Amino acid sequence: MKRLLIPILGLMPLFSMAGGFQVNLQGTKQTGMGHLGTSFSLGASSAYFNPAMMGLDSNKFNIEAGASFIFSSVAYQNQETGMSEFTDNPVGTPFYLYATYKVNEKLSAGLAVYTPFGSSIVWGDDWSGKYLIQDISLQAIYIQPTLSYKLTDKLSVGAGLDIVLGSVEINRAVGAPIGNDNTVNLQGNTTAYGFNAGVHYQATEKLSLGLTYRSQVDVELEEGDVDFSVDPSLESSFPDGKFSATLPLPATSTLGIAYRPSEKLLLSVEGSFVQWSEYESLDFDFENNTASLEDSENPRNYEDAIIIRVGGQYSYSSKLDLRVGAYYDQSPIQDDFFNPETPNTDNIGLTAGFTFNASDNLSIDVSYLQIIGLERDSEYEPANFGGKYKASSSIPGIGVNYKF
Amino acid sequence: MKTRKLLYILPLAALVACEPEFDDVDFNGGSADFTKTVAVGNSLTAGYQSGALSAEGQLNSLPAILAQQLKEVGGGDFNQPLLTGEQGSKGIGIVDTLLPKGEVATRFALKGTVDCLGEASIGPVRKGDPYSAVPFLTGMASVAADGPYNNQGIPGARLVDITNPAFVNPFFARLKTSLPATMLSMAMDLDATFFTFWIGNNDVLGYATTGGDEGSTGPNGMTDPNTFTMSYDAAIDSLTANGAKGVVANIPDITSIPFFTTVKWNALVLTQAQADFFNNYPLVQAYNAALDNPSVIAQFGMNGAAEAESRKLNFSAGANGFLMLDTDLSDAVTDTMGTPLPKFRQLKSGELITLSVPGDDIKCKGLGSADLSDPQNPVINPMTGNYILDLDEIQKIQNNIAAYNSTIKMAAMSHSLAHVDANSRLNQLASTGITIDGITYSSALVTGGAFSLDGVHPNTRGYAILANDFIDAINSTYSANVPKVSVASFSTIEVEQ
Repeated sequence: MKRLLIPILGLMPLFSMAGGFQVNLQGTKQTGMGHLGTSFSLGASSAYFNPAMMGLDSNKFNIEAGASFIFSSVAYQNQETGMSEFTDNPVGTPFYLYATYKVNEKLSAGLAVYTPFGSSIVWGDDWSGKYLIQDISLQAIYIQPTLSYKLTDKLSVGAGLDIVLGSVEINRAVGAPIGNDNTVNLQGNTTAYGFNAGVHYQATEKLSLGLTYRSQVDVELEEGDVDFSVDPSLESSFPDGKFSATLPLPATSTLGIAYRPSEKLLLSVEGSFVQWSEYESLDFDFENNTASLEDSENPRNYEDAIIIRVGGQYSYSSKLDLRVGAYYDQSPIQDDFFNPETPNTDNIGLTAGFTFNASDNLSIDVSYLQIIGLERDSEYEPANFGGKYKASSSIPGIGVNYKF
Repeated sequence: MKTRKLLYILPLAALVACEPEFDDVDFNGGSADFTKTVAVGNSLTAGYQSGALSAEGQLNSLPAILAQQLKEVGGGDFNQPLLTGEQGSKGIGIVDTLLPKGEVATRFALKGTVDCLGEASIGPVRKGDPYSAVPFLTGMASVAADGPYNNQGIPGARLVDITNPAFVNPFFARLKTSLPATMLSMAMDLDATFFTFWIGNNDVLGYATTGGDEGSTGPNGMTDPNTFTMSYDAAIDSLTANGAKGVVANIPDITSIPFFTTVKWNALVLTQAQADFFNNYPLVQAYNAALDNPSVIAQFGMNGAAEAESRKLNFSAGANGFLMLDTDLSDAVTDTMGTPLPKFRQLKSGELITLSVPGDDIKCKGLGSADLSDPQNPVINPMTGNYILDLDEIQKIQNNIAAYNSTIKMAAMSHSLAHVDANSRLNQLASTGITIDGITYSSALVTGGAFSLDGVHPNTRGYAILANDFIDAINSTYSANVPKVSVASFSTIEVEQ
């Protein structure tokens, strides 16, 4: 599995868009049913979905890996000029890798590697919003050692440490008064830390509940690189150097309920609360300030957002599980602060998927997610740039599970 | 069975993943008819920028940008009298400040220059070799035969010139169709369905750029507001006589253009030692002493004490008002010999210095203070009034503009014409700046991004911003939806070799 993943990682940018720059594609099985999975275990991916559930499976070892392929596009139309423009985003490839080990009946340990935040938006070098953003690539890889403990037969708890490898690269045009091709490249990377925790409660044989919390992680870039490419007459005004900036990855709380009316059928509903309101401003502190290059404060003023998910799984046969789901993912961005850097509309996700159980040990998951971004007419007021936005993503995913 | 179906559908769905799209915006001309347009005005209509009219400036003129957008809603072709060859690329500028009147010059380009101190910088420099002998009136061949022209913007034209067949102007001469033709009659000949009319700036500008009262003879005098009203109303009556609709624009407060705001009144920066030197210099001490002399003060008349106080020279470390020779000050003699008291004072807050003041003389010859190149023998070197607008002159200019603008507003209302408030737009540019698509424009010279290198006329982006303002006014008056331009898609200034 590792040999397969590494070349993919090396070749492709990692991310795409979801709520804000959240990417909810952490399990192919769960994605197939609306990305539900807080209140019922579907294998090693519990390490992400609810660490309390790692010990619920009967196997000693569970290993699971997978990736999604995000084909996304955002359209922008300026209502005053009539011009329509489109992103040309690279294919995003969020991935995951989970391994869990049952130490004893009570205690389980696991390791999760996944990518819950990221963005890869390419508007192009010469579009009308180029002074706000030409392209952005943002990624956060979470590495999460996790423990799970069964308090009683019905009640389990779990928690993990999040080691976050974050990096960002931004290109945008510089609105200088001389020259028409002035640009700046900003990039940096850092390591940050957070945690997550979960509780799982098997109320009855048919009914289970799960609650998880994932802490906010502040990606603090201390030594980012600023590289200006400007008219020679402006070079002293826009010196290269370092910058610092902080990007918050918001805390997320999720409550899920699962119900099994029969052996074959699983139904679930979930609600997530994402604390985007922490993302107030994206501020760049430049090491070398000049009259033309002052530290820049860019208000974001995000609002907390919710995600509502419903979905189900049907065991068609011992070889085949079928899944379907849907969700509504609210944009955290206010109409006056909608920046094409993160063009996040309210999204509706429609999903389907299946698992093929090749043997007792090996199974293969396939999922498909269609995201329909609802049209919105919004403006980034500080830059006086706005218009209609519409988005769409098609996301096939594949996963492999091995247990013994 | 179900498995196989899914296996087919999934990859297929990924391939046909719908790209988001929008319906086209519904643009229309509303109740206006743009089939044939005419633009009547001055340099701001002609496309003048960076001190000259050039082919590139004409192609990016305000009415040309507007006409391009009007084409989307049924507008017709827009024929302009483009300059060609050397004149087209180097530009033709009327020089009334830097060179003796009656000559033409090339446009300003942004180039590397070296000042009198040997310091290299990037600044406005006239493009290429000067014209060796382009006479003011005959240097440009007539292009009247290729008309009629939709752009009837004539650089330098005042409102009162547009009905005058004897109006003397090289740009007008090349378009003139007959001896009795006037700017207005030629515009009427087009029988346009829609007009733009933006004129009146030169009715105050000449007065202002030559330092107000000091240069206010002949065409540099301001047009009397009553004359302005009569001429304006008559012009609007003519332009609308055939039922044409149109858009008019008012006059910006020209005292906030970079031509008057770049060189600050108190840009005389001194060290403590320099300030002490000036304050202790015998001529300064004698002058200040004379201003304490009751017999001198008595000669100033009623407000003698106040005038004496305002004339005293006092220098300190840091920013100081420049020294000027102010002919408005009262005459006085300092002794029985009849020795006249010099008319010196320092500039006051709010007073404006023109961009035409020789910068090298300030830096190296002590213009506005004293030439200290021979420390034993300092030479007082005051600025003269032709570079300065004092508070009284500024008030006169603003009063006239306010009067003109109320005439323009009234005419627009009574004829139901679209009205562009260019005045408040420039105020906005000068105070808070104007942010469009992520760029903030200000009224600063070069760095503000909206003015051309002459400090008077907009650059291409400035004209694009104005074109959008015209479109806004048209849209709201005629229930139209004319598409606007993307301002940043127009070129900014480039450094030239």
